[in-house]
Amino acid sequence: MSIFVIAETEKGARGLCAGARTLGNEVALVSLSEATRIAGIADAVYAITVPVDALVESAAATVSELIDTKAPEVVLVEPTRRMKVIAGKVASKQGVSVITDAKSIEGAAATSLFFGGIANRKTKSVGDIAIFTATPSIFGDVQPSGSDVVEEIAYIADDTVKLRSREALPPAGVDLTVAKNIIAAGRGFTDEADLQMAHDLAAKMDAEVGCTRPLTEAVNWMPRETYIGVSGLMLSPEVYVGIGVSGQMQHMVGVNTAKTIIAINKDNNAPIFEQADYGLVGDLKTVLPEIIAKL
Amino acid sequence: MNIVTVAKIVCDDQDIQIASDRTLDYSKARPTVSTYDLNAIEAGSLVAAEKGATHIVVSAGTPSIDDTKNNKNILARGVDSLTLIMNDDYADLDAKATAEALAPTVKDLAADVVICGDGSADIYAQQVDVQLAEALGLPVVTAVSKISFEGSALVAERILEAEKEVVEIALPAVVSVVPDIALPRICGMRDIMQAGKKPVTKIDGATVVRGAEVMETLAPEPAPRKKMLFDAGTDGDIDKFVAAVAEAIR
Amino acid sequence: MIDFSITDEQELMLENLREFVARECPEEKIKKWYNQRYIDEDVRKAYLDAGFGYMFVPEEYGGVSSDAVTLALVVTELIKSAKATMPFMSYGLAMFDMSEFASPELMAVAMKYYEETGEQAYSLALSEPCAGSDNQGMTTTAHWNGDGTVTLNGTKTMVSLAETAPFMLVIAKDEDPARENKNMSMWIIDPKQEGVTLAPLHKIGQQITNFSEVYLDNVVIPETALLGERGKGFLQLMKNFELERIMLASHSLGLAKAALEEAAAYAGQRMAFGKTLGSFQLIQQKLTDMEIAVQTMESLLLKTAWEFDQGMSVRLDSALAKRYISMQSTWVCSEALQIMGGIGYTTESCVGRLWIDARGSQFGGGTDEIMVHIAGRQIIKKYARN
Repeated sequence: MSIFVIAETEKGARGLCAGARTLGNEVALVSLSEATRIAGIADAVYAITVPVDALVESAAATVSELIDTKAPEVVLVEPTRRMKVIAGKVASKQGVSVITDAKSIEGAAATSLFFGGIANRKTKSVGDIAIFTATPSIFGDVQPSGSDVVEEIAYIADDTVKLRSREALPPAGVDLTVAKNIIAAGRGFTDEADLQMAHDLAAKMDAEVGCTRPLTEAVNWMPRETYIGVSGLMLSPEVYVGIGVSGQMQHMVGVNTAKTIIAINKDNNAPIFEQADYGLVGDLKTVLPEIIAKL
Repeated sequence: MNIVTVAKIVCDDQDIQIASDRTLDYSKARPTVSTYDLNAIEAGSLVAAEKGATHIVVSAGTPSIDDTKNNKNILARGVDSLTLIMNDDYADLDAKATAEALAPTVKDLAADVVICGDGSADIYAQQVDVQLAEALGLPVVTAVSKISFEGSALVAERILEAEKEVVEIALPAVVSVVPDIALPRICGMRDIMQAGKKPVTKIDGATVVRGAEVMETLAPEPAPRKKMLFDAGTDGDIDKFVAAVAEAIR
Repeated sequence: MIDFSITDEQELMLENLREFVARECPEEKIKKWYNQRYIDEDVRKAYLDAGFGYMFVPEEYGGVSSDAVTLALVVTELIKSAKATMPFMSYGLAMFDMSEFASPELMAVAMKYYEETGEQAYSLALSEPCAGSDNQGMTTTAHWNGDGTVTLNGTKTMVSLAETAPFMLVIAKDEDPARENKNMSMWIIDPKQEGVTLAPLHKIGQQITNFSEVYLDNVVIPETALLGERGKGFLQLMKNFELERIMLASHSLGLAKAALEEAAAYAGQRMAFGKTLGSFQLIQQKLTDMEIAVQTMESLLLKTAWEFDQGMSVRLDSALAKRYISMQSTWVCSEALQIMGGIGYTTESCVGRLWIDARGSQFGGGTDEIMVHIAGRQIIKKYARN
């Protein structure tokens, strides 16, 4: 089976090419940037050079024609804003819909979250091609490989949308989506200064610190991009430690696929204990220093 | 100038029940505007007010989307009229079929700017904007956080994962907006009372061909957990807890 | 037939009101407002701009067409969702009252102030240290000086909003403070003018509405500061008392609903002796009786408001509603406190505030006992055999 990968970042290209290998034996990478001109990760690399003063999405027509010609059965797309536009245009031309944010892929069907995790929905592409967006993490720990035949594909100009300026956004502080372990601070933190203990514990256990909604919305103690839950981050860490987190569904859907869930809460009736592997009943102000010292 | 905002009407997720066989029960859920589409409607109303344009909201779905209260809720937000495209077969439409259902009406309305929301509350695919643009043969710009006009062109600021772009797009065009573009208003009492007097056009939706089909929708099975509870007040429990944490991160 | 079915419009108003409270009135702000004795201007104005503060303002002054049922629904929801007293619940009615006796020019000035600040344009100085329910005992006097001016003297107390409103309405007896003198006139004064001194009074509840004692020492005002008819100042104030009682009862119902909701949610979660509080029948009985009380209060309130809207007399029912709902609200809040236990008695929970605010409404706008005085005579009349 022939799989195409369309990615914007190096990480996306490597990860999706590795994942594509688990789905089929022919893996081709569509590279739209220098960042994704990587050797040894696919059997073929179709390189399209998008002019620097054009929108990256303007490559859609070129990509669409390439897919028409090569007719892959599956296209795996990195879920970035730009790649989603290219995927959508390709899908429209093929008479299908992109199945987005796939958690698992089975032939022409994939399972995605429905209503932010209330349910999982399995959707099947109707037609000869299935187009999915997915993060590399859904394929687990796999390595890309390939013989690398690079073919330059001529860019078909499309200037319906003109680029006036482009600038890099200030880098986001932390990327919780790639963290191995996660500590979440909840409303049990009543003093901002106590959050230092969460960071100290994180340093001890190779974790990043996120939070529940009230800590970014009500008090603004944590940056918005560290909020975990429906409408925030959906994570799948090895270990999750909820400290002062009550365990409401809106937060827990963001972490309930963690391999191990650990909770610390002073209220022994906190619902999080029902969803945890290990729980400690205690006041975070007194137990955290002890745990940090002993770990 | 005509501004057409395309909105999805979904069932209120607060009222979805999970049945014992893990299927979803929507029987208690009333129709409501998909959360981020309210931001899109607000953006449309602000643009329309600034340009003295007409603002029309269009939605496609099963006949259940025609709810008098929800219609008034939309029309109380600076919207001039509402068009509902309905067909019994429009449940669980994918982006391609949705675009097909919407396109003829949006075309008839002679939209200069078609505004879409960031993503729908249920599937959040972020695809109707692109598919609709393709169906209409219009250019599209996504992730827009700010809209302004220069002559006959629309100038949009867009926020991507790591970059910010300013782009220029000739009208008519499809623009999808991020939630930050505008906070939905608190509807005023006067606007609510006026809403019932504004026109709602109901159209029989044509048969559409799906690009993707829903096979099943099931609530996830909760993962079994060990539920081992330690108490800081019990001697030795913290040590046992620390040992468990150490084992988990090993 | 009485029909309490709620319209789409009312439902949307309540949804938007809840959203307004969720956005603008978080608990930290409410605590701050109770401490500073007023609500921040941006929030007062946002409430007015959303149209809620225009209910019952006459249409020629920009009001929205209103009815008592909608007012009752809105005030109940506002208080219930804020879990606190919100003084601006009454500002629209206050402008309605004012339109009954103020000149169009004064109304225009007052409306301008109201629209710019979201604050009520005037406070009402009526009660005195020795004249509360017994208003005939009032001793503040207005003396006509014969040169086109009038001099006010006396002490007023329990004046709400005196600290924040730009005008003050003063009810004073014409010339003679004697008990027999029934002629009272209404005057508009500037609370910052010479001879007027304010001293803050500190309530145990409802501190979000500032409260003052007012000393009037030779306050000289022009005769043109008279509002309405000379000698009829108290009567003209009485005109909208029935609607005011409906509004006040809605406030009490909102407090009770908030307390019931808090306590019932707590009982459903909190564990004691190995099970939830709510699984104990003593707690279930409390919740049952609280629910009965709240539903009964709501029925009586809506019935009274509906009658008012039908143009029926509510002289009896508005007094019954004010008395019953004020008293029951305190009881419901007190039971909620009992269910919450020690945590309810701390400032961590809002239930203590609900309880103490509810208690205050057994005084304001006519005491429980004055409501008996009003209702009792009506009941005798209603059942008279002749």
